[in-house]
Amino acid sequence: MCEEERNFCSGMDIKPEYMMLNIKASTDIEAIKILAENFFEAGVVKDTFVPAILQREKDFCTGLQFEEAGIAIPHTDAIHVNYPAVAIGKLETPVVFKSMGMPDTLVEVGIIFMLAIKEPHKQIEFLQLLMTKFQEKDILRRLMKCNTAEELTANFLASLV
Amino acid sequence: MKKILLACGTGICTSTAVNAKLQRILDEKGLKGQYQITQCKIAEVPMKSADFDLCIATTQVSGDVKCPFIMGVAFLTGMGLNPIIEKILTVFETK
Repeated sequence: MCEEERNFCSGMDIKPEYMMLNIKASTDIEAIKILAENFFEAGVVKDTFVPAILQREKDFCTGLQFEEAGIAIPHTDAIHVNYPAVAIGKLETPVVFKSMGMPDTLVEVGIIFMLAIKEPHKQIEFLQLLMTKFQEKDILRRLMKCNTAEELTANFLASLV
Repeated sequence: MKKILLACGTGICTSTAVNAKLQRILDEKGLKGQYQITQCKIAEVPMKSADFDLCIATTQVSGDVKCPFIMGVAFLTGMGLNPIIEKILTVFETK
């Protein structure tokens, strides 16, 4: 990634190796675990990240219903993170997540955006950018259609512009 | 001056995203300078809320909130945001 793109993404590392397609999971926790373990194997996060992000989802669920799709944005504290990055996981079949702030409301999630946050003040800008972009037409729809990790990475980077 | 308390799990993540959007909307409504926003952890809400005119959060509070409370997830998704803005504006109408 060139320097300009790095700045633009608030320092977030976005690479095909963090992307996972066709995740087979039957619960929200199972899906997060698969994506988080891949993040750990890639060296982005520490071994404590996996239990921490699972516990965090139980305490503060992160499902969000956008107009075009249901998504989830699991995240946890910076102490579990080596360097800032985003992992995207597409589920083979949607999994039910609890909605952020409204655990009684369920969201069918087909795509997960896992955030490894290292310096909160910088990377929160990135979260704001994501939330704004996901409200725009066709952005989530396009990401949902990607079939390879490279395609997903390229489309995600393009959608942030 | 209306004091608004913004809360999420950690007090830094989604509440910051809500903060940016809320400020933009309030300023567009001509309310610039008439509000003051403080961010905190959701666990601090029962203790802190007595000093505020409004609390907006992206997660549920356990315990008593001692000021009007609004669920603010719509600031992230844009879904159902207008009725929430209306509710927030009513806080500015009360003295």
